[in-house]
Amino acid sequence: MHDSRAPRAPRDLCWRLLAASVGGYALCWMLFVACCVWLPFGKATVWYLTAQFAPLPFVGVLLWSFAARSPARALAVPAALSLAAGLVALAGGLR
Amino acid sequence: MNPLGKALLGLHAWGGLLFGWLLVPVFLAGSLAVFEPEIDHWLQPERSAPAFSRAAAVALAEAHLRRTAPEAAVWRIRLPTPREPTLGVAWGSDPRQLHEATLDAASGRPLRERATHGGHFFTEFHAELLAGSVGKWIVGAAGIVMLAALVSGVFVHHRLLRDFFVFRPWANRRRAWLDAHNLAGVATLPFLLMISWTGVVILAETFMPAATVMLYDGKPRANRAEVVKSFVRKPAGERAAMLPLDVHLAAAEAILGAGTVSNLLVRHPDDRNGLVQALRHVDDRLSAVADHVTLDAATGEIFGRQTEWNPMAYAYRAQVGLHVVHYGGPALRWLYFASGLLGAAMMAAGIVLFNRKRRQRVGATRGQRWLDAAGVAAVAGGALACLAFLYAGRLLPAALDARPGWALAAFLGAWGVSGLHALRRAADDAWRRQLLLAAVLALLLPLLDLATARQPLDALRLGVDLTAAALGLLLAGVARRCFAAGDELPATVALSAEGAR
Amino acid sequence: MNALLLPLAVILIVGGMACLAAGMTRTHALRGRPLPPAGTLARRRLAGGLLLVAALLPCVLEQGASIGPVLWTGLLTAGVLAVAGGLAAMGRPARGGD
Repeated sequence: MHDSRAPRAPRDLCWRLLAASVGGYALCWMLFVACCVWLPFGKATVWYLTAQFAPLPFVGVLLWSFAARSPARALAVPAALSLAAGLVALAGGLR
Repeated sequence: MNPLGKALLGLHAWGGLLFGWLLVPVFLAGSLAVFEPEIDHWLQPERSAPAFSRAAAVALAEAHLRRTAPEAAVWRIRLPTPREPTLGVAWGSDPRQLHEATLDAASGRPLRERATHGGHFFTEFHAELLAGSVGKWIVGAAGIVMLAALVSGVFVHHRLLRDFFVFRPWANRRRAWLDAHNLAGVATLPFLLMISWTGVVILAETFMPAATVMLYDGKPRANRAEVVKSFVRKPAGERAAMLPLDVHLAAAEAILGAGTVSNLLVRHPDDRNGLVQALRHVDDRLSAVADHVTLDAATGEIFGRQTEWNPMAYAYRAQVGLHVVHYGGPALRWLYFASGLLGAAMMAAGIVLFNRKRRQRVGATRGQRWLDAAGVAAVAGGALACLAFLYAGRLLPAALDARPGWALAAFLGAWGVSGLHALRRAADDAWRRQLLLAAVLALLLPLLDLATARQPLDALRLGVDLTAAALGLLLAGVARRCFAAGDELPATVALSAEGAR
Repeated sequence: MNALLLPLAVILIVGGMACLAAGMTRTHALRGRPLPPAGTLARRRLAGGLLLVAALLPCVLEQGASIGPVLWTGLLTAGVLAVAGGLAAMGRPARGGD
């Protein structure tokens, strides 16, 4: 919590927090949407399947946001993944 | 430390500290919630615990409902169990909003208990901080940070495996705290991962409605309505005497298993289209799904039954079941209770460790005093608040207006006083005094129980009393040994002493 | 018979954890004791692992195939704490370890 990494600029920290919270939420939302569009099961089965994995994208993005070398990377990865999941969902919607 | 551990140190330390203030009380309340029925019983000393027969109890409940609410469209009966040895009856027109009463399970006599949130208070605080869906969002976020803190902890405390069994209470203070933090964390790691994960899964229904929006137009609980079969029909408006409910109970248990029915729901008693639904308990399975069977009230024929479930819903409810531990009997309940408290202790040790390190580095600055006070208020204050709630439950006059509100005020008030006290005292002094006060209150809880009893002492209340006393002893030991007066050396002295070692 | 399953599981798990601890160099180093040969340590760790796995059986017999493993995992926690607490209670070593 100090020495090598500590004097992280507050702005740096803000970006990472943004990536962790908004990035995690966006990724989870988009993954769920993609699952709902693509999974070939009944509605209830899809609902109960997605719900069981809800913590995964949040925790993954949170850890990534602080493990990433720079705030830009911290933001870029969840943004790119959310976009990808969104496109996959869109492709399914246009099918 | 490996590079990943270094990168995640800030998240582990600051994330753990800030959310730990919330997670310690949430874990404490969650551990208490494991024993919700027992605490319920303790908080309502009017409740009796006689030997009972389930069939006779159902007949008593039916007689009571026939006397007091013969015209009600819905009756509900909660059968007595060893953990909840009273008979619950409820009636009204909407199954979600019924009038309720509690009866003695052997005589059927109304128990006229005092108004209280009961043991459910701790469950509600645990799951939503008594703040509805806002609280669910906050606790959900805390659960996610908890999971991240656990994963990052494995990298930050990289010697966990090598130091697997190491606990050195004799070593210098900081090392002893670190040992305690690591040992409690490692020992309970599977439990903590499981309980945080499943907790977030449960709360995700509220804070992550993406699938609900996509599949059910955003209608909450529509998923549930799809997998839980509902067997209802309109009343015929034509009288037909209902078979006695104990006959229905026996018929339902022939299908669901002897001794397994926990609740009966009667719709339109004595109508030709009346129905009796029997719900099975979930005490013997991981998945918290209640099989149910619905019988024709007048003829006893089976109208509908559900003992098979959508497999994915069953798996999801297994995660819920893992979290709420209705299964597994006393062994699992006590393991959950102890593991939850150990999780809280692990986080408390982390908070103490963080503050001691930081205080040694920056001194007693204004900011550090706030951090210290918040730590004391989170841990000791949380325990004091829970104790204040229990004391209020027994000391407030039974007929007081808005009684549950006063008990809540005692809970929050104790917490506020703890925070103010912690701000005005040196850190270790505040820790010691508040933990000692909590210890004394916990040790005196059995006396309070005996002094304000309305019924002979039973196993349930005795269990609460003895557990409180044992925890009181533990707290007293921690207060005296870990925060002994004059123990904390000024930073410079401590540093030079460490150097000389 | 049934009433003995849980105590049996506890004994197996605490025994297993004790063997694991006795098979770790750190335990001996901290106590300032001479280190047993590597082969002995490995055998103790093996025995510890086997005892832990064996404890799964009474757990499953007592609580069934789905709840039994949960009980087993919970008992592992108790086992770690029992052994660590026991080692701590055996007192501080003559020469402060570490």
